[in-house]
Amino acid sequence: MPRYFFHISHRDRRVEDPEGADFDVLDAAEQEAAATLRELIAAALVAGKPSTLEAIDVADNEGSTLSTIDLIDATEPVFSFTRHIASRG
Amino acid sequence: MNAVKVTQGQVNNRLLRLLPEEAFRLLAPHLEPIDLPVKRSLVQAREPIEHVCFIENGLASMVAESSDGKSIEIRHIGFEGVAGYPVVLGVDQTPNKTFMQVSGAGIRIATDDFLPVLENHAARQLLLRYVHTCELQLAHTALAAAKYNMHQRLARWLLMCHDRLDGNDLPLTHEFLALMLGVRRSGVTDELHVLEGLHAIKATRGNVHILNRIMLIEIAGGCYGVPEEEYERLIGGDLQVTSQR
Repeated sequence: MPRYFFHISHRDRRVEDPEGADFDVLDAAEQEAAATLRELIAAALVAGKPSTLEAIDVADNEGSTLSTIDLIDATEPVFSFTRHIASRG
Repeated sequence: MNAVKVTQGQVNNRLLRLLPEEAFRLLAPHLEPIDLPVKRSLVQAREPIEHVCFIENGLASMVAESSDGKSIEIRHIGFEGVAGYPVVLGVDQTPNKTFMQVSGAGIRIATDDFLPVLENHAARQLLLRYVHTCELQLAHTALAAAKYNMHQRLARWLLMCHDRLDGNDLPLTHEFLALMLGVRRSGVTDELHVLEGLHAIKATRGNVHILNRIMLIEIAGGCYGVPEEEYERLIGGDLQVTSQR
């Protein structure tokens, strides 16, 4: 099973994933990245803290970014209006 | 069976140290020092608890699993406790499993050789009080899960690990911390980075170095400390390793 790394992009910093995790296919890793973003946004919302979160880069063992999941990718299944709002912005 | 004779003065486990001398003498011939490598199983789910194991050092985790495969850590057991403690309550097995999260050592004893010690009043009281502190730890885990945010819960868990491990280096993976907190692994990575920014910890691969314990207690808010105070009050023997503070 390939190992994927989830590097987190904030507006002002990048958090490297030192461990990685195994997934069957990239699609499953992307879903994990989206679920993680939702969890982090939810935590920030509940705590009433401003979030600087922007995206998660899913990378392979060699450090190449395979896919970038942003907040819109992560929240679109939940808030169908996010892309509409984003396009207005 | 055991070649090494275990004496009460040399053990590190708080419960063994605090047993009345006559109770310890009863156990002594059956006590078996063992190495506890990481992932070593101490209690298997739904299997007879054949041994109890007093942890000398290292960290064991008790984990609850749902019928559809979700799991969360419900208990830390270090040198303040004993794995397999449900036998004290008269049960033969449990759906929860216990295994080592940080390698160490322990002193184990077959359940059949251990149970007679409960006939000693003071020993029984000590062990029942320990089980009560386990219940308190679980109660406060529930409180933390429901009423505190991840940032605070992570600080609590790090403090609980720090209480039980020697020194300031906690050999914990993000995957383990995620299991403890019931969150996704990357969420732990992100929160550790925040704690690093505050200079409370220094995280490297597979290790969390505690830089500022007082700050972690402040970050945890009220979700750390009550079970620890009760352990001190009811059992004593210094839950926190004094050498590291």
